[in-house]
Amino acid sequence: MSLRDAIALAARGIGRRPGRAVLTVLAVALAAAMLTALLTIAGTAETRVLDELASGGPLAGIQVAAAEPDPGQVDQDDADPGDPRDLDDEARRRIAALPAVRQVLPVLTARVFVTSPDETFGGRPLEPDLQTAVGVDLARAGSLPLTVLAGRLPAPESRTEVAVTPSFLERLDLERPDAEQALGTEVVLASGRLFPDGRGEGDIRGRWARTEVVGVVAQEAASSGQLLASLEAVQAARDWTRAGIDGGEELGLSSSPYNGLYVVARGIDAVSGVRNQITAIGYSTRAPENLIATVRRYLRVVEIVLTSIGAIALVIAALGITNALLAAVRERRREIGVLKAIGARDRDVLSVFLVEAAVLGFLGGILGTVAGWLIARAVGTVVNGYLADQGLVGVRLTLPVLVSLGGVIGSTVLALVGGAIPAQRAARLPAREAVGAA
Amino acid sequence: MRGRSVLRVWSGAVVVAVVLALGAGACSDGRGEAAAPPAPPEEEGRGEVTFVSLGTDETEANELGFPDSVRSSWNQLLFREALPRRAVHVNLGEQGSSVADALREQLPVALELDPTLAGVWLTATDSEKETSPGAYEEDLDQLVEALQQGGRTQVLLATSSGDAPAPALDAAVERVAQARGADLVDLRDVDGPLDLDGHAAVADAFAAALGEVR
Repeated sequence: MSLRDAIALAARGIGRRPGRAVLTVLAVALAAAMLTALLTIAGTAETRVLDELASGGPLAGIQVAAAEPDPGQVDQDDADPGDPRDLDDEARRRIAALPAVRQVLPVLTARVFVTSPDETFGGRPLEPDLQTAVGVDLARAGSLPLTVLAGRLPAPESRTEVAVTPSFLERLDLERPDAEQALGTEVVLASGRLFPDGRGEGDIRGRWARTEVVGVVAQEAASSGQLLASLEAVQAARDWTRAGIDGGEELGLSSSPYNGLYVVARGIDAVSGVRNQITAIGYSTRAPENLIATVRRYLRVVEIVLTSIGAIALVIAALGITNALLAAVRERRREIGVLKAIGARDRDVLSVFLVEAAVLGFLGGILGTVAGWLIARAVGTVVNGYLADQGLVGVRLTLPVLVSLGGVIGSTVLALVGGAIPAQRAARLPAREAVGAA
Repeated sequence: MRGRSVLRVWSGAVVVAVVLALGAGACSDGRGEAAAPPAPPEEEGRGEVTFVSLGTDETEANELGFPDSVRSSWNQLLFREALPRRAVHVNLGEQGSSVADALREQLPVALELDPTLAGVWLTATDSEKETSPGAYEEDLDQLVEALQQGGRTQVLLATSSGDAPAPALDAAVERVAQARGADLVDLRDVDGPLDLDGHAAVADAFAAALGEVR
């Protein structure tokens, strides 16, 4: 008997009791759906938790401060910085040259006066206030610990776009869930510069620039800064301030060319080594490596438990296939007898029932994978709605290819295992006994 | 025959199921490829617009009180309402500054900024000090010529306002504007004290003389 014939016979056998076949497929599908949904949700939750620990940036991110290191800091995630030390292009080059460093991103800050021309949502213009504007390389924002709550990040090199933080929303009389309303607000920024005056006291002149709020980010910028802008915009502000008679010192401008660096190591396992090397170069670092490693271990345990639960469900479904095929063997004894009487061998009969089991398992696995993905999406929608109400960043679902393939293949294999006993029983039925059992 | 039709039905079901599963596997809200960063607003590619305002008490605008002095003075209104968003503004106005003082103290900073637009309103202090029109005109002419930087900078030159009229100096302002090709801003019709409305009227007059800046 060819495989094609076996498939045809298996299909006819399934079609003889469509209701039972559908129920069997559904049982497998339910188990596969549970496995797929659990693993998808677990994987997404792991990504979200680790994202939160890394503040939205890469897990291998390291913050370098313009300060001397604490000798014992490498063992600590949040080391206290030592005395200020200028962080310049030479230091940046030395750090970028380290073998395990993938990227080095500069961070600049400037103290700016912030006001708005128009009434805000509280019915009055924004009261002028001194804030910190943080400048980063927005062309490589994907490597930075930034999470967008509403809108988008400013365009790279733009001097007229800014993003604000949740604490800035409070100044606009907005709550976090209403972050989108802040988009399009115009804010006017002024960096100060000290000029000599006739009295020898110094006179501050502002360089005013108009900007538009294009986004809201979840993370508070360095030193409770409320504004995120391009490197170029913040550098222009710093240059104006530094040109003053005091070099910017009285206006809070540090002498360091960079306020900090954000270093991305080549992998989370390289973080500790890179921190050691940066400490040796002479700068203070911070990275949540210890916390991330601990959390990952616990998340792995959760994943194992969830996989086990899904696997148990699949085994139960396989037992359902065993039961259904045993009933089918009983009902089709005459058919089996006729097949053998006309020359079918034991292994031909075996293959018919194994194919039947495989088809049921395969179909159930496919349907279950799709259903599991839909269930995960539904759960994700509910969770994102809750997170949005809380003014938090939502989760991003991913369905790993391995999970979907594993669900389908696993269902098929378990169905084959479940169908093995009934198939063998059918194969061993004596032809005369099977025909005479009508 | 029945077996073949059953086989066809189940084969079709398998094909549909495989397509669905592949589609589900391909569907994710994951990071995938990072989206390209947005481009800066188109107007930012049109070059810098640097506006400097030179003047005396009304330009420093301390009489308005903080924060109106940094939000509602004529030069801040002009900066926000008549200039493109990419413009920057530096207010060099100094209380009690005459033209001679501006020539010595405000002009060097203005030139350092390489402005594209300069607003000059320097009549009140010289009127108060009773500076001779001849000396006033000479200094003002020197100031405007230097500011223009050979034509790189558009200069808006203002007369006195109704708040502190100075007819003799206004005539000098007109002559300098004509001789140097600067844009005259006639504030003689702006009456009353320079309160918030007064500054708004001054800003409107400057804007009218400015024309459109792209």
